[in-house]
Amino acid sequence: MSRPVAAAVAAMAVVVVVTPFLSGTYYQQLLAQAFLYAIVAVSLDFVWGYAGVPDLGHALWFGIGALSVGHTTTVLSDVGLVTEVHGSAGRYLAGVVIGVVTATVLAAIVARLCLSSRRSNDFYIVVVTLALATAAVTVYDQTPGLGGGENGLFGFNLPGVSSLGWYYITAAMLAVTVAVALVVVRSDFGLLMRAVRDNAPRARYLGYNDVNVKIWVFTAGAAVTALAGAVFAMMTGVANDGQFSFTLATAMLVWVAVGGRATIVGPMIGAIVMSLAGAKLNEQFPAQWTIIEGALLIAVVVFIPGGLLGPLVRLTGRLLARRHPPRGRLLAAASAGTGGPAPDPGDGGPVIRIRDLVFGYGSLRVLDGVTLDVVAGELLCVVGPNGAGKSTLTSVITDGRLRSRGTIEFLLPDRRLGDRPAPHEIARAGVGRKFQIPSVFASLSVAEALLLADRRGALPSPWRRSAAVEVAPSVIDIVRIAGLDGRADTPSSDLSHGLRQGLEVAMAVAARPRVIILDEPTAGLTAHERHDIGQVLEHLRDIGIAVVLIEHDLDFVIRVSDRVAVLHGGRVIEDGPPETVRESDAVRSAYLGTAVR
Amino acid sequence: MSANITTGTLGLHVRDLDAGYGAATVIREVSFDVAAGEALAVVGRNGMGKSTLLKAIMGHAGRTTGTVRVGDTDVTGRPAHRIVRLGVGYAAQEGNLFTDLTVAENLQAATMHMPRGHTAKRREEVLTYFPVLTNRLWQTAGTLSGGEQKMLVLALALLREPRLLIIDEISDGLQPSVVDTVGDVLRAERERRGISLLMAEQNVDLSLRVADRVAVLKLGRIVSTADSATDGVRDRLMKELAP
Amino acid sequence: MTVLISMINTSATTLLVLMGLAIVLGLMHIVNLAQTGFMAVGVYTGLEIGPRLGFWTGALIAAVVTGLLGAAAETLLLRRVRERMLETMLATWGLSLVLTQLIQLRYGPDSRVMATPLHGSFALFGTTWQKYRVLLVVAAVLLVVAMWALTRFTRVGLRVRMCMADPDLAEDSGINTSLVRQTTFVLGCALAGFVGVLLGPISGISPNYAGNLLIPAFLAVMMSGRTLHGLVISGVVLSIVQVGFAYWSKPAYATVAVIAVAVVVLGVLPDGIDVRRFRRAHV
Repeated sequence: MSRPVAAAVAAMAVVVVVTPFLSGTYYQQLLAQAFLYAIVAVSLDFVWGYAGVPDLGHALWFGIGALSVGHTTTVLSDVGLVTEVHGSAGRYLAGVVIGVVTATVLAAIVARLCLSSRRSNDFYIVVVTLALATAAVTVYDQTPGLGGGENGLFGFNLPGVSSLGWYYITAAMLAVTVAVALVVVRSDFGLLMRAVRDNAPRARYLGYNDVNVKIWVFTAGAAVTALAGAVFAMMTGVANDGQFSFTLATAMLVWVAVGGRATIVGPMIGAIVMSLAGAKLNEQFPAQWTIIEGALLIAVVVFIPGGLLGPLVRLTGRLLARRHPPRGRLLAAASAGTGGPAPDPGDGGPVIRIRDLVFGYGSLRVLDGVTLDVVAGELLCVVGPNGAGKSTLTSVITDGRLRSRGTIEFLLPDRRLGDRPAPHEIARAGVGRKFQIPSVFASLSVAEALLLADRRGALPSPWRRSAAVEVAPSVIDIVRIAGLDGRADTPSSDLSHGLRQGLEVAMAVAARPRVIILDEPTAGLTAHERHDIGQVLEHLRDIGIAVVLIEHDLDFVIRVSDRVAVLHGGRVIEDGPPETVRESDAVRSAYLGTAVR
Repeated sequence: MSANITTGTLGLHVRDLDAGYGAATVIREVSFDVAAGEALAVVGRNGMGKSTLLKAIMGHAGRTTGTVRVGDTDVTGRPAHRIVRLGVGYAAQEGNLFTDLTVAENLQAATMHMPRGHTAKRREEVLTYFPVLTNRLWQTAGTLSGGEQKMLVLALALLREPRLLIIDEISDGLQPSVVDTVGDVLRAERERRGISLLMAEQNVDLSLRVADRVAVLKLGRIVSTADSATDGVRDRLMKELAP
Repeated sequence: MTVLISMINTSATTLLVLMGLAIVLGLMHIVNLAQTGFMAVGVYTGLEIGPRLGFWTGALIAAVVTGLLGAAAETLLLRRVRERMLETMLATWGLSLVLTQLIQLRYGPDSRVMATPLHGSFALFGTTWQKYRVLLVVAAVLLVVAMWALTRFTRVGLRVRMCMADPDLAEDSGINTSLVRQTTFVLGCALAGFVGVLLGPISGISPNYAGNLLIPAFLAVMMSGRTLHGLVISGVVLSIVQVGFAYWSKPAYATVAVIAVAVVVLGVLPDGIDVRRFRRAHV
């Protein structure tokens, strides 16, 4: 821990320890509640801010934790009134455990259903989480045997803990939560979370299972929130439908939005300040307070997307964390052996064998029986006029689930693939892909993006933060040729189009692929940049990678390629050395409209 | 909309146009004029920026600087419908048909902003250019063959009686006989109504047949302009464009 | 028989609510979570106006009021977060809170009732039908038919279909798409206000008015695959599930069942209920 960070933490600790002595039990209780809400805000920031899953029903998990404790420690009459409190330590513990486990299991199921559907988008997630929270309130109210119905459960406070005790317990819990959260978001896994949030498809084609990452984060957030809910119930002795409600869920969103998404500390402060203010104002002006919350939500979302505290928190964080070197400073070529095995030099055999590939929908056939071999150590160009199916071919090769008919065989030594593998499986087996429109992770620096690419889908540690980024020497070459050296710490969003193209190629190569498919790496580049990219591609071919280039700049194709396949009307109409293809009448007519009459 | 929408002709004046998407600049410092009644073809191979140039003129490219004037009106940054209502017909290369609507509905959709009674006669006129479409009126546009779709695209643009017509690679993917038909129609329209024309093309022969001048676009810049009537212009263009 | 009637009535209510949502979502990609807020504003306007100028005048004025509110919200807020779905959802959600609480400030939290403009009932097929509820069913059917006819046969409808299908191409055809979008949003909000009053006589009226209708309506929109027939089928199916569960099981489980059905349907048919879906695969 650096000195400024240590000083800040120490100062904060002093304030937290001293505060209760300056205030009465009332404020101790309020603050303890605020600390629990802050834990919830941090967990929601994890889910929404870092993993990009908008959980509008986050109160559901809080309510489950609270209800579980209430239910296990009370005895209810037939109409749901509390007749007796069963307050043994075992029952409290059971309540907490059951609550957390229930929330975890339910969250995992919900997340799998919401996130793995092809239809999944923000709308779907928002509606389903919102719907679940509403349904929970209805079920709660209409099932008195569960949680006392509309009256709720009360009087089951954990005995023997004073307000001051709760204050310190919750403060300690919050400190641990924030510390863990900060470590995780700064770790290599934190990098992956941001990558998945920024650009899930790109992460998928680097070999990461983006859906699973989101499911884990969502589930972890639910578990932490359920724990906070359980402690809240033990402290206040109250469980009711309000803990599941829209009102609370909205308040949680407001805390995170006002505090600044993806800052951890911002939502924490937001939750403490807003819940204290809310508690004071709510007593006198309940309606006004909700109006303020609603207005704040609108204002932050529409006018100040970074949140009220976001910029401040980020700035402070940067000042305090100066000792953490940005990863890019240490971007380096791995010493021999650690950069992963270099691909075998091409033995002339095919690494991908495509036979009679058909893809289409309805009566339209975009690919109509494509047969093609991709060979190691060869630079194959796929050319064709607009709408010939070039980009579709890339998609269908790199996502085994898409094709309508035909076979695609991957003859890659190190991994067995099923018949219709998912994109991340194909990527892990060694098929790299560069998208047509450069697709990068906006918030990741060049070095961070390369770090993720280098891992090729292996799950990064949630604790460890790689100080140095070591990649294969060939990647360093590409970084240099593409003009990215000296920009290792630049966020990808600040790169020009040409540099993004370069970064995309570097990422694809950093994953140590055996096959690399590049969709129009020259689009939008100047002649000079085209030349440089050409050099990179020849270099890749020379180190034994099978390079597939989708391109329609014919000059470029003829200069760099070993073999050219011409795609037209969803079929390969020519396949041979560039000179032959250049002389072909079919190609001339497809390209220049000088039809052979 | 005023009645004079159907009369006269409009020039197009482009100055220092830069355009691109996100961080990519596709069109660089392009300036040219299409005089009233003139036809200019912009040729170049795929990926050189022809479509982006036309989109930038119509206000569809993501980021655009420079000025575009249609006649006397500065239309830089205006939404496309305002440009269209000046009397400009635009046929994009892709996304140029409502594929879920029928041919008849597409024809109706093309003239939504024009006075109703006026369009019936024009519709007959345009359909005589493409008789095959009359048999397809109740068919969904997406189910037409590629060639028929292109004919419909051109028909839609002409239906609006544009004073300036902007068309993007109408010959793309067309068989030679249909390319000939398209050339005939464009020439006929120019003769009959004296419209100005800006066409992006890969097909040199079609460009020379229809346009007065041909400009070559390379990597987002206009590198040369030639008069179609000059001797040996075809060979020179073919050489400039050939792989 | 009562279950069947109840299913028909609920279907009608759901369809009335979801049409406004669907127009706005289909054309503007705005998930209007403030729909129930607008319905609440509508019904309270109806409560104010109705007793003085009559129920139907109240409904019309309510439509005007919510339409104007919608115009203000579109111009001041939503335009700034155009095409960003999550932001529009959060903003309209905030708006819904503000509207609901403003009503609570003015009218208090207590439940109120609205007089029905059409009393009485009649007997048919061996059961009694309340006239007003039958009127609502007729209104729902009329609304669906009107939407269908409007989009299919009129120039306005063609304009809307053009904007939905391809906004750029609509612009190229001379359509002022931003005007069409704005108008649509205002109409969607006005419809919400009008429907708010229509449903007043059969509901308990409180500031959280119609809150329970929003979720089934959204689930139906989500299931529908963005077509009119899909909307109708989804609305009716979910209503049947809801009423069926409430009748044969417990009302509480009905809310869960509705979600489950929607999620399962979307699991099986990722493109939603759309008989033309075969044409719409994405690469």
